Amino acid sequence: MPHEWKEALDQIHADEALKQRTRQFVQQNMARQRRPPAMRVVRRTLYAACACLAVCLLAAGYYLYFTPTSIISVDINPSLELSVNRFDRVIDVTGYNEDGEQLAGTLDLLYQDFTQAVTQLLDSETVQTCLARDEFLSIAVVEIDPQQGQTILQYVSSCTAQHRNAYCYSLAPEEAEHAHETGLSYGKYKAYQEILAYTDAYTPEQINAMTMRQIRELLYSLQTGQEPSAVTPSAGGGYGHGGEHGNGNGYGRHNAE
Amino acid sequence: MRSEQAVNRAIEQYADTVKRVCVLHLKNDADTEDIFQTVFLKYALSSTAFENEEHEKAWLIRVTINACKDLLKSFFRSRMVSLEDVRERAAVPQTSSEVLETVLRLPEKYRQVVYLPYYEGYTAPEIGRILGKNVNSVYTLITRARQMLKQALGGEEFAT
Repeated sequence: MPHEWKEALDQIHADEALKQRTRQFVQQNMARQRRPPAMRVVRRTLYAACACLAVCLLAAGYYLYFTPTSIISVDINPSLELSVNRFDRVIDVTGYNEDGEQLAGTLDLLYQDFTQAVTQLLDSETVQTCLARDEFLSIAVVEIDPQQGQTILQYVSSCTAQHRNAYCYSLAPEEAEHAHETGLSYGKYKAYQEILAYTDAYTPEQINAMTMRQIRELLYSLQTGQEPSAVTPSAGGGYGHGGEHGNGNGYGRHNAE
Repeated sequence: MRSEQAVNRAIEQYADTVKRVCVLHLKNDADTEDIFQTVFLKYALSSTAFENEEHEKAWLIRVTINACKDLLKSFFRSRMVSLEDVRERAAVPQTSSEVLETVLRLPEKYRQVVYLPYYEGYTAPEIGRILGKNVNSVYTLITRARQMLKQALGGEEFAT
């Protein structure tokens, strides 16, 4: 091997600075390599915990918001129900007959505070027209949360105080649990239950097709033995229902004069 | 993973060898330093058990050559450098000889087979193992490299 070649290569050295930088580089990377498994596990666990927490919060939020704690069943001829959550917001509006569905479609009740929703509903042209025709307005409050149910009942009672044919009452959830199976709103279901006590000649479909006034007349005729056509549809007081106002919940109000 | 003491010993013992292999392949100080550090990091993280120092040295040379090749492959597409630029290598000492300059101008495969036997003293079978080549191919490469150098250096020939 030529001496010059060896001499030339001998001149190539790794200087001390390069070695020192390399030592530092290697040590830093070794430290990082040693640390990561534990750090990675901690980080992954943290991410997983955060993800679980986020999912749980979302699920809990969804549950809290979209679980009804009270239901307001409004029956006049349109029958519709407003589901109210624990934050007093209307989370569902369901029409229980054709008129009810049409009315629900014309109003913007969803996610409103129940006070605004009830006011809007009662002030609607459809309800006002029915009341002007001397129709009977039934508002049943299903108290899943009794405290909120009472608040709602007080509110709807005050709202309907000036209507002589309005009848507000509360229902316990167990009283209304089979209502939807029959296709009736809670208010009509309650009346249907009362009719059933006298006769089973009427189907839920027939009851659903009636206005609340017709249902009350029918009930009154069954209670008094008079023909329905002979019943004088004078406001409320004559329907034989006065004793039941409140339906055992200790609250109720009949606006009959 | 090896201990810091083992890594520091290896750096102290093989730094010059690794640097020379880098200089034979790469074109500037920055790349040389990158590969130099990468090689010793690989050494630190490797769990290879070495039979002796020769085995360890051969492993480091092979890893250095492979790392240089990988870098050159990636460079080929984005930062190809002409042969003239090779002369301006910052990594090569200013006082380098004409012989070294000539060797550096050889294609990569010839540079390796000039350096390994003539400077590090490896035999053809050992070079074959380091480079992953057939022994006959190594002999052929050595012969061709010698001829090329003889031609370039005007008759001065590398003796085996």
